[in-house]
Amino acid sequence: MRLTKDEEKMLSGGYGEATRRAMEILVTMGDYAGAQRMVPVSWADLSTFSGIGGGHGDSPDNDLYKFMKELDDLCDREGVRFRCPTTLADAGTPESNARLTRMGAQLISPAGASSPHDIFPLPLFGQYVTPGATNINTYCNSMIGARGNNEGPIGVRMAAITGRTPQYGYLLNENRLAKTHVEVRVAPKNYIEWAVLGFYISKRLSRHYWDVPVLTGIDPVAVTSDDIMSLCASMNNPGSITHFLIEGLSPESRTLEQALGGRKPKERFTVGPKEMEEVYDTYPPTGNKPEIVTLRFPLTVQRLYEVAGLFEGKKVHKDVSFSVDLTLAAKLVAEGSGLKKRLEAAGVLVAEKQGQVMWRGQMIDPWVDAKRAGVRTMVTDSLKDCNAISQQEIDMVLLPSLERIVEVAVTGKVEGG
Amino acid sequence: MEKIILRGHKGIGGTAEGEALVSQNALSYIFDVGGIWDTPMSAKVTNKIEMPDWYGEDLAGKVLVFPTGRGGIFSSAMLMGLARRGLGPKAMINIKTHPVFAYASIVLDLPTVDELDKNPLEVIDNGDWVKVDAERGIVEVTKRES
Repeated sequence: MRLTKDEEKMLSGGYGEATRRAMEILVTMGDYAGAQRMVPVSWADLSTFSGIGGGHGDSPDNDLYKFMKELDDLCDREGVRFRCPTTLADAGTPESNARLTRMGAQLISPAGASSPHDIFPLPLFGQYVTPGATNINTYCNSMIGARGNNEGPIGVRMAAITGRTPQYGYLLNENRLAKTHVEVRVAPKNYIEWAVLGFYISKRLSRHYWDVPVLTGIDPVAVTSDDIMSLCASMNNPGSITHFLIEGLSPESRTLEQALGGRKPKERFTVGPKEMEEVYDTYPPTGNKPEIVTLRFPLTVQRLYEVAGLFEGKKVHKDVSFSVDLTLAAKLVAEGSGLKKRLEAAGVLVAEKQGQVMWRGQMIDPWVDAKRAGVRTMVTDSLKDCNAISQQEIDMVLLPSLERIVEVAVTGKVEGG
Repeated sequence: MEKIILRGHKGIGGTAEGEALVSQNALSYIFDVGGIWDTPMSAKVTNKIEMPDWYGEDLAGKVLVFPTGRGGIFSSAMLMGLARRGLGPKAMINIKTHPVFAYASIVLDLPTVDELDKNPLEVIDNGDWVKVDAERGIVEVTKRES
């Protein structure tokens, strides 16, 4: 890799040992991925890994936590300041929050890793970014034309420390062109259906996610950014589509020809009602009673109002635990407008931390504890939940609309089981 | 015994050898491996739906051959947590390494290679003995005697 004088100084320890280590990791990554140079980062988001309890698999007993803590200790001793605009959410401990904000991160929320976008300004076209959450990264790539790889917690932290990221993958023009043409022959009606569409495409391309898909057949007038955020989330689950294009919506895909760079696609496939049904059939209603019912795709302000409307005059069934996650903005609106109190009065648990549900009088994280806690059946709007929790041999049921999910929470029954 | 050499660019980490375990599917340490919720932690594959060809396999101590990583940025945390308990893989061979996995390999100094001159998913079979020299970007496969 060719480094600038300043980057060389970082690598040789001229700015201290912490910065040297961070740059060494980035250079190793860049060499491995074939990068020719580093580029300046416009936004690093540490949201998804901040300390103890700051995410799944994130405990004081794991090596990533220890590695980060050692590095943070060193940064502290050397007085390191983050070299690019850096945000922090979902932090685990007050100590780690205090330390990272001392280094220059803006603590935008103590919870809510997946929605820094409603608080912090989104980047602009062509800027290089390292968002923490994969859905945000994909949104930046696909809908804004900012450029980010799925760096994960290590790459993001090193980017914040150095203000640089290696230019490989989606930071290069040639890798941003579409290689796969996906003809969409359904009109998703809500955010769950958009997620189902993304899930199908993500799974289909999971072995070669870098063959960027371009989607045609989507009416640009009928879509909302909430829908697209849902699509972006499921593009990263079960596969890892970090960048995709939509004809007529993505800035780099005003036309199909532009998306493909004038070349023929390597692969072409269709997603219609049959393909959507395949996804629902993976997580079908079972005969079991729903024990936990949850809206885990964080409710946006729009969906918060919808759910509150659906609960008008209704209460959660006594045998059901029903909880909702909120985006950062929705949390503020819920508290300020009295909607939170109304939902709570109806028996809805508004989770303080993302991903938590109430189970037999205790807060649990079902990603880790569902089986241990004795949960058998969970109804959700989230395919990510289905993917993560079904491996604990819990019956996961995906339902296609808010209306259906609220109905299950109120009646304590799942139709079709 | 038949030997096959695969060559590529400089990889991550040094050298390692071990028995190959090959999957045609993309791997997620967070969604596919029991480490996060199993007591005690294990590297057994628990995701029947996304990882059917490795379901029930123990990934500890194997040279893992798989196309790439998939969703779940906490794969790096799980991989590192398992590695410290002696349950990590010996090495990883990919078509293209997912960045989340690559950063974990860098921190762990875990031999990892990708973009080889032959498709490792076609050339390597379960049970083959595989030597990975990541420094030189060379993979030596000794085919298992059938």
